[in-house]
Amino acid sequence: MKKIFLKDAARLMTLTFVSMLISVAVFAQKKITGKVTSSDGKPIAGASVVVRGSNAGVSTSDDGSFSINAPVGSVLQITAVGTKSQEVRVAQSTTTVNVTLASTMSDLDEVIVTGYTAQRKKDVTGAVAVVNVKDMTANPGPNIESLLQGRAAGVTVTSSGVPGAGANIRIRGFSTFGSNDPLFVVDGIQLTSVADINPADIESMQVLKDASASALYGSAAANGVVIITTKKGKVGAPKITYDAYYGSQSFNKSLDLLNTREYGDYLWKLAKNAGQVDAQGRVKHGQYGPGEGSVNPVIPDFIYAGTQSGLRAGDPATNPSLYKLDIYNVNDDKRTYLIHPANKIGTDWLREITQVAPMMNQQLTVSGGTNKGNYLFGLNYFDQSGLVIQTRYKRYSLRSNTNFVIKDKIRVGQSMQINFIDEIPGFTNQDEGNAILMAARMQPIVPVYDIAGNFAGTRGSNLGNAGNPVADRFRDKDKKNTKIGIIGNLYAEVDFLKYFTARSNFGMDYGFNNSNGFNLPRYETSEGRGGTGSYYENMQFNYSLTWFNTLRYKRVFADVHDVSVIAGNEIKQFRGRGTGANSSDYFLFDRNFWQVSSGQNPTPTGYSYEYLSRFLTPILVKADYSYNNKYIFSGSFRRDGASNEFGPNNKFGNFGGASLGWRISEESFMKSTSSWLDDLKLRVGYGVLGNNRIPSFGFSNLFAYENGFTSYPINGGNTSSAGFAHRKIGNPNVQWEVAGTTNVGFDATMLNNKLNVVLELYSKKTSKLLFPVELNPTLYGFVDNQPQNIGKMTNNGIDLNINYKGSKGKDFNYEVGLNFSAYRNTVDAISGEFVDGSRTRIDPFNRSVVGRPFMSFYGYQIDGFFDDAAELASLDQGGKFIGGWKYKDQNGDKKIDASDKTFIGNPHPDFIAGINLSATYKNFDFASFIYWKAGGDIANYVRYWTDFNTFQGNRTKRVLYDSWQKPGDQALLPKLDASDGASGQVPVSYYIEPGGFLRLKNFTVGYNMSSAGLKKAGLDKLRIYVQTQNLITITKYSGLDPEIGNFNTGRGDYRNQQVDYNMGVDAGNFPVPKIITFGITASF
Amino acid sequence: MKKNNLKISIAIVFMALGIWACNKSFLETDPYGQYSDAQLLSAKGIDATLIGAYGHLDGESQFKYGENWYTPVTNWVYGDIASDDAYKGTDANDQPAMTAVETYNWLPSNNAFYARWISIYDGIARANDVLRLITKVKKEKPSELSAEAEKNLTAEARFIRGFLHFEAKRMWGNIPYVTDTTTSNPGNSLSSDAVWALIVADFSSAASNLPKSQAQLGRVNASAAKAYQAKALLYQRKYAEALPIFSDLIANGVTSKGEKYALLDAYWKNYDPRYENGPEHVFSIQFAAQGAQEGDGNRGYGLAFPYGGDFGCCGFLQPSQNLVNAYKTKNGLPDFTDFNKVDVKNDEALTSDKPFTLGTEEVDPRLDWSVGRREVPFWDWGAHPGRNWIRDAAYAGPYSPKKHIYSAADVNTFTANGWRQVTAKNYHAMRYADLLLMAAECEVEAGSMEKARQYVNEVRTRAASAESAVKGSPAKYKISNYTATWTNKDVAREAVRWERRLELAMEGHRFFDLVRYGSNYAQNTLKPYLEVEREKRLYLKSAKTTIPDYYPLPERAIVLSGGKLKQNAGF
Repeated sequence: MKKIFLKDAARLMTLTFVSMLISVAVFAQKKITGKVTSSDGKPIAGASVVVRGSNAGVSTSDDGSFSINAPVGSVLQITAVGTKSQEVRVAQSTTTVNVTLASTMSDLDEVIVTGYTAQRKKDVTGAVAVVNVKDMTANPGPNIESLLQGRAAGVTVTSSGVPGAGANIRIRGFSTFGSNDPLFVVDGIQLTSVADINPADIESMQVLKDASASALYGSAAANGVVIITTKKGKVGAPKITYDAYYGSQSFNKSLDLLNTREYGDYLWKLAKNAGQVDAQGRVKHGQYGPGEGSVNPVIPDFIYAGTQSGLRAGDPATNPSLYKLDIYNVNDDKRTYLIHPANKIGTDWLREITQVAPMMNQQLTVSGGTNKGNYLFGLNYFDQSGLVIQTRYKRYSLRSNTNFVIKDKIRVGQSMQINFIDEIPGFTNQDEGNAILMAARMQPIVPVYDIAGNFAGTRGSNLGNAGNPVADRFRDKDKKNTKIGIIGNLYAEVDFLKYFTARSNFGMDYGFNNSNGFNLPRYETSEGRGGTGSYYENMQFNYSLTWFNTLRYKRVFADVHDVSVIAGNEIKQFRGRGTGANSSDYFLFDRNFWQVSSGQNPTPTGYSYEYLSRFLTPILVKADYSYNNKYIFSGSFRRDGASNEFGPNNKFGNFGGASLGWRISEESFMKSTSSWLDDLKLRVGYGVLGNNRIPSFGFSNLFAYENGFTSYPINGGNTSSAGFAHRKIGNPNVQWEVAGTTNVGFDATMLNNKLNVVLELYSKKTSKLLFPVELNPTLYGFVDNQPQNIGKMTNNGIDLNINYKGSKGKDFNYEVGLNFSAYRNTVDAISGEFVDGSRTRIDPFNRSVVGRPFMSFYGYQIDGFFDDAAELASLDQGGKFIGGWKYKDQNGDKKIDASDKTFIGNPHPDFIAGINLSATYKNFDFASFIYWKAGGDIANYVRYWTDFNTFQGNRTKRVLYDSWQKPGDQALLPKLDASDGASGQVPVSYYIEPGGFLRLKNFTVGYNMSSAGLKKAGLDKLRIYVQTQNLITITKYSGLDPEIGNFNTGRGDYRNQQVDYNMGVDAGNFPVPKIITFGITASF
Repeated sequence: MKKNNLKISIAIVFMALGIWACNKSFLETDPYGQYSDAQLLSAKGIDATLIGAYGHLDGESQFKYGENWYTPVTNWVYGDIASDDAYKGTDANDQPAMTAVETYNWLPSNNAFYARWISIYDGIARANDVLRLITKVKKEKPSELSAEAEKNLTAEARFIRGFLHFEAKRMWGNIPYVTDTTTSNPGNSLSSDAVWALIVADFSSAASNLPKSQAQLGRVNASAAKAYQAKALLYQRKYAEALPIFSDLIANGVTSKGEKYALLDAYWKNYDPRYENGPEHVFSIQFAAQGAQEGDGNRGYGLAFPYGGDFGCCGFLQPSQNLVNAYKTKNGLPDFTDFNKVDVKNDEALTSDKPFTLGTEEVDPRLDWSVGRREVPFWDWGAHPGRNWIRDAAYAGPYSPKKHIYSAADVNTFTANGWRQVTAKNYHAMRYADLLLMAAECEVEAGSMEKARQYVNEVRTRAASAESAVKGSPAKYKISNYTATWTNKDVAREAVRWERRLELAMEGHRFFDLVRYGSNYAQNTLKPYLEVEREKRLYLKSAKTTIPDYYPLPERAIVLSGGKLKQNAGF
């Protein structure tokens, strides 16, 4: 099959090139020339002149002139951005058409791409949000995923500060227990992520939000579709544009942790309250009270020397002459003798692992074109260091977009971006092993460096098991992740038989990754420090190919019946391979030996794997009809099959949608309002979509080999034999999820195109929701969760977009915009009683049950403290003690157990809003953007580490100063007690915090140099600007940043990776930095 | 020219139609690297699944968050730390979940219990997979499976199923019994007797169908299955039923290799990987580790290594002072009543650079294989240096574990070379000394105390052999046999129980034995243990002194059972 695929592809490409060479005759028509000017008399370049109802069209040249062949009786449509379009009928006598286009700020005539086809904005009847790409990409950022935040109503974006990171994009709430990621379509190619696309290359971006708009994407569209079109060269002389900015990222918030002295006080309170003292009242502790112990905590001078801990100055063991570090023998006390002084004040670990980090971008673009073709080439370099030291993302990208028109009838073109990405790995966001959580897990008494300037750490007693995050980041700095990516597309389009256009489009998304790194001994830490060096190297490539063909028919009958039909088909193939190896036992750790082959391990290990999955769409069809620009109908249908996702009983599914539009303002009875109401449209749509991003092979029972877990030394010797064990229990009926969306929209343009309002109300009901059901381990053992189509969910919501463009005098123009969205999510049906989020060190915080929002927070409600013995006796609660938390006895049976857990929070926001304010005054421009997420709780899991009697890391000031001390205390936390193994070990309401925030995302001031001076310097345009991002954040959240993305947890199970099971849980999140940027844009 | 347009268009349209031709077969792909039921329907496929079941006898966890320490078959947390033999070790707040087990603050939400639960029931599901595949092959491809193969594969799978249910039974008391025909969520409403009967049935069926010996020594044989059948009876205190089986095994039992059961000539050889699968090894969980091959190594003990020397980490599982004191001898015999009044001299207050000489107490030589203590040679690493290998002596005392620790000679041949704490040392789930002592228990209850004395002395004789002492140790060893006739049942019973503790210390049995003895034996042993020990280990002041017989069922397992599982009383 692959062979056939490639053969067909090759044939297609040959044809495409051949078609470029064949000369094509012109229709025997009338030649018309003319000039297009604006109301102030200036020529308009790039205006489009087309014969209405056909595909024949040209653009005006720099002096506004054009030349076109049109049949007599046809109508020429002349449109240009920012002007009101005009239509001119071609009469027998017409030879010259000179038009003056009235300036307008309306963009209703803007043509927007809505998938396999394009439409004028005023003809759109589905829910389509058009993103203002210019405003959005004016913000520095690694990619458009994070920049999209607040830019489109109905779109929720959560990003993090990890360099180069993408973002979680959720369109109109949550519709699945699986991946809620939208589908991205770039120049017609379907992608699952656009994190690598250079923002500067983007021309337009549309978000298809409802089923009628996105039904053409069928089984891939249930989570919404983001359509991106990259830039093309414009008609005109070659133009060079240079953009550059340099920014500085910083971060100031801290976790308010204890200092060295306070930490000692904390330890003594813990021990004394638990009675863990000897007859003399002394507490024993490896650092603050070593040996016989001490009545009060004493800060030692040294935390570690040789093999001893908690030493005083002058102790012979701390004699610096004993110090030695043999990196090849870090555990051998004859070769390695480390001396770590105490930091008596306290190390601020968060400060130590963060930095003021630079970020820079350089972009060079060359573009131009004629009526017969256009071109755009771009070169980009983006370099972002992270707030966390030794994190960095660099991207070099090359863009090439060209389009050619052959004999007015054939269009061929390509678009392509080639990336080279180079990043430092080792920071896993939302993970307990990352530097941010390690910074909270390190005690303040540990210094960053020891007496010799090497790293100090937790090797002494009672210092916990955290790794020195500075050391770990430093050791990761030479590790590499590199990726070469090619995202490209080639098309050919032919007009024939007057009303038909055939198109064939072939796209590819290819990635090649290499990661490698050398692991050096972590000599200063308590755990996992040994080793003889180890090295890994992994390589993988993967690609997706998309090939679609469409046939379009477009015709206007009797001047009022505008009909357009498109039909086509599509195949997609995903394939990938990976291989890797690792070795250990390195004689030298030098850079020159960082290769698998230099390891002296006699048996280095290696692996390889591959995957393949396919999608087939035998038919997709869309029909649009409009009557007299007044009544608009649109309908679409698609049939999809999938190889790995859909079960044998459901290989193919049918999807479709329909919508109606009524342009009320075109009705005669609306004449009276035309003075202030420019346009008013009512839209109604319904459709059914699928979600095919479901687990592969969920329909099969599968067994697998896993070294160490399914193998066994069955021969009794020191070698192993392979075996298999169950991995999956299949569900043969597994199929796509179904989303039905009803959408009602109003579009209004008022006050001479100054005010624009789009209001949409929707209801999205998903059914056959796939549940990764956690099978009862008592019966099935350790198997992957089984996908079952038994769930229903509803999202009802409202999207509102208001824009006002105004001016005062001729020098002052301003624009105010508001994007508002709110959704209410309810789970309507599930199998069993609940679906839980992933486990962390404690039970999951998130739980979904019928009638509640998806993945609400669930746990015990704290109901004060046990103040005395009588109160203690009144309630049967595990791990209870006087001064401890009392949980609310929900069922009143005087016993606290799982049935007393309740819903303690909701991670979904009340609403989100983006507020855009911008203005220009003479040569100055100003822009600001405010993002507001109202409501939405956060489960602050970082508190597990910092607020409870868990691992020996640092604690917050709350713990020392806000814990229960005596009856009646209105304390935050339970009494400090070394024997307390219960508090915080289950989800309780203390973890839940309000997560709403208001953030000044952007404030920019720019200045455009006056043109007279520029001309002398040979420049057309020069703008300089200063911008701040995230300057102000208003929030009640106590953690580092209220913007919380998904995290990876649980078993290394792919299904837990990108899903929203743990939404709103802060498990060590990389905060979004404040950024100050200086930039320049020049063109000549 | 219009024609040309048309041609190209028609070509594109036909190419498009070509996609139609991609019929359903385009969508037929199989997963790479995973096997469907259908691909395993052969004797070979079933055997691979059976090896998969053996592969989980070690209990090692596939969870992400370090639960490995709570799941292994060695039971070092639930059998040793929960008993009077060992402390959690290391320093305070390292693995708080483990401290909770040690101090009897047992909460159903403790992740440790859930990890162990999943681990056990995953193994049971794997054994049941084998039985289900056998049924399926017989129905669909009967020619693939000979009667002989069916008999062996079934018997091995049933043994594994019985073994794991046995582990669950002694952990939790009230457990569900899951078979290959169980299809709905099982509850734990079966009576304890009924569950025991099912466990015994699995063992006895295995015993009657398994071969006497096995070509592959890791496979269980008939004698081992019988021994487990008797052990399951012993746990029910059905001494009279267990005794004839034990007696038969002592007379006729052989290892999988076919060797007649016997004690190894030296006690320590049980802890040296060079002597594995010898005549003493009734049933061992096999481990393999060598250089980069570490997947099937013994990693469950990973944390339980001294905090210094070649090991470096992490200092868990430190023997208790009580255990060390138990090895003191009076005229070569244990001092049942006064052993804990005076401590064996130790170096707790001293750093390694301060001189220390060992005490002159007479001790049982098995002490210095069960406990690493200063000045005594620690395998071939030289004398144990004391404090240098201890993470926090004030917290958890001066001792190190020893039996499962690798020697210098083991490095890279019997350890992984990445993380050396992953060793090839087998875990002896049952060795012949254990079997002899279980038989002795039965003999005591049957009134044949002299027979019991004979078994106990057999174990002591080996311990007393010159070969069994630590070479070059400065300690004063003294161990004698019981020479006086045993006439009092209570005294005899106590002597057998003491012998079990001394012989099998730090091998994961102690807590389960204490509970099994009944009559509040666990409570009566552990309460006084805590009273003394908490003055040395201050954190034990927070230990509860009411000790339940069984661990709480994990809350998560109850939740996922759809309410079918009921919590043990008292939690």
